[in-house]
Amino acid sequence: MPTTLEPVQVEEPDVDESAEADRPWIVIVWNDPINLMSYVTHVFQKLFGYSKEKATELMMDVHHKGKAVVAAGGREECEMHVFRLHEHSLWATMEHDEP
Amino acid sequence: MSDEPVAPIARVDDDGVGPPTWRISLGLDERAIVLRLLGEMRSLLRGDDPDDTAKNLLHRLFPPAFPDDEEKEAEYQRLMRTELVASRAATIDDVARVLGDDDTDTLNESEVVSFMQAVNATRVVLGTMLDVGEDDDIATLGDEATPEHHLYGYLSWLLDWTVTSLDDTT
Repeated sequence: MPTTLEPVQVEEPDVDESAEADRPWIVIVWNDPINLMSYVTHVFQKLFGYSKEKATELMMDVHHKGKAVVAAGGREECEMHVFRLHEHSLWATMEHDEP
Repeated sequence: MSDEPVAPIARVDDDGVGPPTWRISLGLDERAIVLRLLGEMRSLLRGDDPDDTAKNLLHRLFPPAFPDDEEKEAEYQRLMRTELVASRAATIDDVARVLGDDDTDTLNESEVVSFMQAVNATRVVLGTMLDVGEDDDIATLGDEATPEHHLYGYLSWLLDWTVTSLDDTT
């Protein structure tokens, strides 16, 4: 057992990396030419509990703008959303939210 | 005699008592077609050494979660891919069990959801194979329509009815 204290080099966390890790994630659904609009709307209601109006609005964003952010949160939560969207054959990805 | 089209699938519990129930009204030939397509889907999912065509179709069923981050994408695939294959296979088995029994025409909600997911996944694969575009309308192909186009149209019709029948429960 050492009897004297030796200086220890402490690694400071990279501020940028820490901020990056803390940034929330977003789940994006992308437009594809195959999935029916009624189906996409139904899946948004079922998976996220959105009202018919909100789900339709998001579906129309996907259709007309090419994509829509359908959920946000921590990494694990968003990964589960993406998995469930993939289960329903929707083209979903996730990324860090813009700072 | 009513001219109303017969819904291939419809919710039939209108008394509000008991669990929701659906009735599926598919002829034996229609059941056989759906079962054949689901069998092909199962083979595609279980293929150990897919060729390029199969890889392209599978890519559509298993899209990347992190397209711009190789490390995170590899981790996602390692954790989720097997589970996603199992989930897809389970929905196919669920539907095959119900449609394989000619005497069964009543479904519970879980079976209808499996039916919706399995029909949609099959339609996505078929649409990818046919290279369906944003403005393509299968109905206007006329004589150029192939048997696969007709199958795609049939699955679209079936899926739309299924979604409509489920909309009451969301």
